[in-house]
Amino acid sequence: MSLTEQHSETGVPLTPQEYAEVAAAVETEVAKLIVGQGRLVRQVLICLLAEGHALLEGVPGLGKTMLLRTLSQAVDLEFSRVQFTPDLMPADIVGTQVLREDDQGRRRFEFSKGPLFANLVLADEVNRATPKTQSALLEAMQERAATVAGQTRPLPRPFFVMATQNPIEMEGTYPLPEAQLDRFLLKILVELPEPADMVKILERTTAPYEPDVSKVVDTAKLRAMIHLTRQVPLAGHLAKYAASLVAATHPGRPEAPETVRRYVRFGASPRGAQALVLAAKVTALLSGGLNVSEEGLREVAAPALRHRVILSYEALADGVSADAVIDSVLAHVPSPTEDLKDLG
Amino acid sequence: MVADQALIPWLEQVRRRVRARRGIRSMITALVVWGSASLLLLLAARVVPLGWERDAAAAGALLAIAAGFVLGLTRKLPLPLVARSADQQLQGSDRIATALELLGKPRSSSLASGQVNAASRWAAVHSVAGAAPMRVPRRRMMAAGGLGAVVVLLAVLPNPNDRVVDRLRAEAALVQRQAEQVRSQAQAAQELPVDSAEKQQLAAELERLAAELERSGGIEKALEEFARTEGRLQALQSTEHLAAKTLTRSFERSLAGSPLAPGLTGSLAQQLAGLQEQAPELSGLQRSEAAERLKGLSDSLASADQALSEALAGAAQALESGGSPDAVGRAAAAAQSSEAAAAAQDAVASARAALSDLRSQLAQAGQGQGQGEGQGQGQGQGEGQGQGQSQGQGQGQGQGQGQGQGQGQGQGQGQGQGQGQGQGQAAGAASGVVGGSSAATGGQATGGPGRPQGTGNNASTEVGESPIYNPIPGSDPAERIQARGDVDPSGEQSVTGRQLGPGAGGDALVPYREIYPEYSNRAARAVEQMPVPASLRTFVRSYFESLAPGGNGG
Repeated sequence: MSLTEQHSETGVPLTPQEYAEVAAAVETEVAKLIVGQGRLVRQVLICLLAEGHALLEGVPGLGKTMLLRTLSQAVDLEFSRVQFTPDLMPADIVGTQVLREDDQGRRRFEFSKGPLFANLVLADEVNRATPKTQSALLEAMQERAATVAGQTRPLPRPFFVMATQNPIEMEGTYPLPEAQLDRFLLKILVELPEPADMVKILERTTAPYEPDVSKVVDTAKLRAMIHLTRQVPLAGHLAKYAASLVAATHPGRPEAPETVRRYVRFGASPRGAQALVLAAKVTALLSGGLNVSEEGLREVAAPALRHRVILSYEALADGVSADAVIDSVLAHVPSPTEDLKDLG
Repeated sequence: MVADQALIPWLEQVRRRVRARRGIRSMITALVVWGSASLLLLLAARVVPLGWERDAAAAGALLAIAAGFVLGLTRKLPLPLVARSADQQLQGSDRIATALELLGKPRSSSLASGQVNAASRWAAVHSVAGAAPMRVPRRRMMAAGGLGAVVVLLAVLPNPNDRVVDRLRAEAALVQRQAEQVRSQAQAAQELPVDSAEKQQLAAELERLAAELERSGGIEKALEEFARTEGRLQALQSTEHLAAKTLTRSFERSLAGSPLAPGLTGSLAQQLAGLQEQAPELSGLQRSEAAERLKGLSDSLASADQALSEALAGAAQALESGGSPDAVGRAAAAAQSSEAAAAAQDAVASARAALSDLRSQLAQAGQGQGQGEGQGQGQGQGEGQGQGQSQGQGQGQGQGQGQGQGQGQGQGQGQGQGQGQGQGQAAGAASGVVGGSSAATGGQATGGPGRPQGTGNNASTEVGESPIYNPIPGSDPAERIQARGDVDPSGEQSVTGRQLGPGAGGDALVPYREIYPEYSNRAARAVEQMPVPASLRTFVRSYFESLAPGGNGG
């Protein structure tokens, strides 16, 4: 029995084994420059293979931008980078109509594509842009299309927005609205690498030669991989579990734990459940499985839900993080194996 | 697809093992429940006598094992649940459960088919035992074992209430035996060759008592029923019938030596019937003698049996005047009727005596068994007393004691019978004697056999205090009424209750000293009123003198 899955549009055949091998190759290429951030790389890769957007949050200097740039090198995708600033206008990222004169001297408006018209868009320090610009990004992220001068233009597929934001230096920033946060598949926390890893970073980044990053996957294969991701079967009891996890983040729900009731204002949306399952599907394929598992769901629960849980002021005052709330949800919601206890 | 098809059989095998494991777990759980319940039951049985706790605990253990196992084995066990269990045991990351779900759906992609195929192959390389290991819940099993051990220990250790239970059972058995005896008496009463309302009522009362005893199950209730029935039977008894019977019997005894007319034999009624036929042929002197004797009997029966007395007076007058002998015939009929009534009354009296006997046995059984626990062997001794008359009537009574706690008593008529009963763990003995021949039954004893003894004419206790059956209760009300009452502050007296003389309150047995004068006086009066030769009168008087309390008779 061949496990080859052929993409309907690209016609590229792909097996789960190839999927895992390609993903591993991407990770290997990225790891040439990004050291000690395996989990971070894996989560970014999950977004890539699920065609989801990623929000990377971390203090400056941790390699967020480097990671995304390296990833764009390993994957044969059209890459663009936008440095978000308060004076950045929507047209600066979407594009605008410009007046052009042809050889015959005739003038006409022509659409000049903005940086959004790329496969992989790096929105650096996304929270520094004004809400107006953020809204333009919002439409692109959700609709995978941009509307300029009344005309909606589709963005190239696959389309990913990899945004970074700095949790400090809040002055002069515009926190992303909840609606926009919800459009990110995962919110990935970038943490300080271990000292041993930092040594390796120093060795690699201060040497005269920078490691070469090879392209290991082209767009067609990547689209086939994204297609394969969605083919991963999800058992009914795990779908229920994912739904229960999301429902338990709502303080008004009976299944919500005490932490949620106390510290959460709004829980995750159904889109959160979609993100959870999609990310778990990628996780399954990356680990050589062919189906979603409970462990996969639990593994991606925090990055998939942490930006969808809106904490109360009491949580901020008590120093309770969204991750702590999600941990309590994971501990509280009965595992699908719970009803097996009766069987011994 | 071959691998696909292999998944379901593999899961079925896993399901069988999971079922068996669940049956075992369920059985152990049931044993824990059984152990807890049995422990409580056995502890409760040490406070409250139950008697069925060991049987219940043993039956409960079997029931718990069977029901627990069957319940665990037969409870619904869906295959998806089995698949998830197998995933959990084999750390299959939900692949079997997912594959099973996909098996039931049309597969939209080759990845889904591949997943099913891969999961089937993966399952095939794993053993069924690994997917459903036979683990038992250790803590629960230890709890069940511990509880079971304590339950067995409690069941084996002697329970102080066991003796109480045994006693209650013995009491119930005794009551049942007595019910059977009462029923026999009821049948005997029914078969009496007498046609009277008293007989029917007596049989009904005895039958009702037997039924109540069978239902009662305990001594207290049985004693209440006995008392109630004895009260009813007492109401059936006529106070005069015994006097009439005694007088009639005395007269009939005189008829044996001196008939009313030459050649006549039999009872008073028979001789009167014969006299009616012979009357025309009798001489004046013979008629006169017969009339005089009938007149004497009529006078003595005036208060005891008015109908017979009047009929006899009429017969005497007819004989004396030489009139029609029809009056003699009517007297014969009245005498016959009086005999029937006396027979019914006798039956009632016998029944009362028998019930009294049974009741005292029952009461003593209740007391003796309560007191007799823990005693060893005992010795019984019997005391007997009997008295007889020339016609063979007599009463005997015996007492036995087993270490001072047992008691027995017996009474007899005719040749004399004695029953003895001893309770406690001592031996009981009893004796009953009349005129030197006795038939004594062994005492009923708990823990030790009764030892019947028979002695004749030797009372080792004070004869005057010996209880004796009183055949004529309240025969002289003027002398024997005992009244209870109150005197209010103004000096006004009020009677709250009154009781006739010895035995009239329902006691069949009264001290001999109390009843003796009545016997003696009645005998003296009868001798004076009857045509008895002087030598025989002297004999009768000396006989009663010999029976006086403190005398040598007995």
